[in-house]
Amino acid sequence: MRLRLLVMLACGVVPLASLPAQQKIDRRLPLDPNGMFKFFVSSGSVRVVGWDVDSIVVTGTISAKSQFYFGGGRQGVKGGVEGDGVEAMADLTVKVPRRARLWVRGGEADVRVDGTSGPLDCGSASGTVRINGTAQEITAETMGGDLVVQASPDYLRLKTATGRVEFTGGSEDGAIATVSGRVTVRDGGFTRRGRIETVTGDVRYEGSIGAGGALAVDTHAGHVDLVLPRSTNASLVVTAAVSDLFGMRSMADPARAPRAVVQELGGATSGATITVRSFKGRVTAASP
Amino acid sequence: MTDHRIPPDDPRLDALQRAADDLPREVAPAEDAWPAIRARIEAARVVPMVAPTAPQRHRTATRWRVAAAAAVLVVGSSAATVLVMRGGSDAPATVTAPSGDGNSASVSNPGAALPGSGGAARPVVLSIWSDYDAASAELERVLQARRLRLSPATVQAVEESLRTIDQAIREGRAALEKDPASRDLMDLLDSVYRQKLDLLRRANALPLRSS
Amino acid sequence: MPPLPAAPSAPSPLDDDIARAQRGDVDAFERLYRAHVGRVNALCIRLTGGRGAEELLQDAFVRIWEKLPSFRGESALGSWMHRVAVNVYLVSRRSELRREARVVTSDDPESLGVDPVRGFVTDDPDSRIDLERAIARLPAGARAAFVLHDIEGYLHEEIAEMQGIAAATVRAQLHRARKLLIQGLES
Repeated sequence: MRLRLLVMLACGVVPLASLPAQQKIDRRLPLDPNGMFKFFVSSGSVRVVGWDVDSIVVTGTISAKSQFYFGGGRQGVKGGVEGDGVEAMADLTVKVPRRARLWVRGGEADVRVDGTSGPLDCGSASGTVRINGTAQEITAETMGGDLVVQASPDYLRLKTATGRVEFTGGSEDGAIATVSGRVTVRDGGFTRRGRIETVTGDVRYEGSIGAGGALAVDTHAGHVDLVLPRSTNASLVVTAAVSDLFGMRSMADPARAPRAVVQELGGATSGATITVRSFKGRVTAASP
Repeated sequence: MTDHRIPPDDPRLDALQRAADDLPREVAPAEDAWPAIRARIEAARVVPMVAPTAPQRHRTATRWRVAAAAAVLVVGSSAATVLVMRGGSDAPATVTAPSGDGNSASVSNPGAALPGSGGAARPVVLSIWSDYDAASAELERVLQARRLRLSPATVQAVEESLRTIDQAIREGRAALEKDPASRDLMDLLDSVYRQKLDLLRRANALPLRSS
Repeated sequence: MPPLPAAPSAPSPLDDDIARAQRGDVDAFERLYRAHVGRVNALCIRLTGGRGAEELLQDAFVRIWEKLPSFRGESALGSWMHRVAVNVYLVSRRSELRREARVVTSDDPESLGVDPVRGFVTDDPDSRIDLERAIARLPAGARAAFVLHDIEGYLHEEIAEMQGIAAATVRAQLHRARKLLIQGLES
């Protein structure tokens, strides 16, 4: 790569100013297993990886004009990269104690978290956030970026505006909100309490609801597709312009607000409820 | 298993209590919560305006909400519109019909009284949305001041979302004017408004570029 | 000659605002909110360990507004608000309070000295910050017992009644909290 650039430079193809100017980063600090780590990257990408060592190691590169911060004690470490736009590009990997409490933010950066189990709070304004691990508490937010989470936290809060949300796993207490982003929940769903809200984003929920649990899906214009196991035992209450619930079709009078259609699945003896409301959208329910 | 209890006369307990006593008793919120609180209060205000005239009848409480039987729309000041809802029909809340697969299917009847009302016609007045509008206008003013220091991609996502939400609000309000008794419509519109406030708050909390 | 009964004190502006708010004046309620939000917020942060504190603060003041007509002045308004906030928390977290061994963090920027724009933790050697963090890391039941008893001054029996559990259970949770805090602060 470097040789090719030099050749191109010699041929007058690549202006000198376009050569990448970067700083190499290789820093480490001790951190207790349950310590807290906070990290901010304004643009580029950061990957956080859990490991079984009581220290934090940051490696990678940042652009020459960026500023890198890193400091703290055994109970808490902070770090980050600041700058403006392409001047603050970072490509970093951070290894953290697996059970550390994490707060990771990317201004425009992509954020990826793998293999951690401590409470996690992360987000990016326009970058994509990917989480894969066993964290029991996950809070993640973006504006335009996607949220892709593969985990089974007890507590889950995911928010985007235009980005899509993909949640694979189960959660006892989960809430997902988007404006126009599509929401997909699969391989588990919510056991005790689940809430999904969109304005125009479509929703696909492939999962179940626990006994006595409550799942609520509200959308103004999104289409909602429920794929519920045959063993589902819950009251299903759907209010939508158009619905097709296990073959039973209904269509609201366009001159009036839609009315609720109720089905008692599996006898609805568990006390669980699934409530879906879509002002303009279609709601379907079927078994896999 | 040994129970490592701390003896009651352990001096560390006194030290812990002194440290607890020294903790600040007041902590200001990081962000002002009042706009959101006010919006929730205003969206759910209940002010009786009309005494019930229908005789009280016993109703079996239902598990699901149903819309009231009739509604009267009263136009108040230019800043707010109030809705009066009354229940009072004898009709049951749901009609249950067996479906072929062993599940039962029901269709709600909007002509029944609100659950938990004991059958009495319960007049309800709701102010709509003026305080949500005020709260979001304030947050939008703050966002405008920060706009130039957010990334173009973020600004685009926020502005596109606000357009989507505002369109949904217009459609929701129009539908509610035609069917003011629909609790589902009110809840859905409330959800959209809350999303707007939340979007604006999150956008205002984003880190700014330094130049 | 017996002393004359004290003349009733003139109603304070706060009393005016209470009365107005009870009659539905939202602006008056805002003034009450501004006067008491600091104390209620501190409670919300400590009870939740930081996570969900903002939601709890909003829920608490909405509930305070709803119940304000029932306030008769038997206690100070701040104490009454405080108790309403505690009840809102306990109702919403009743099932979680029965679970053991949950360690949670404090995410509140104020308590950790975080610049809300930059989002960095400020190293603060102040032992109060250490104690706040340690409280936030307690299991939910132990944390509630410590916050309500040792910080806010509720009696064991009051805490037990609010949670629908035995006073002995509250004492056990409190002992556990103190032990964990002492161990955590010493390590």
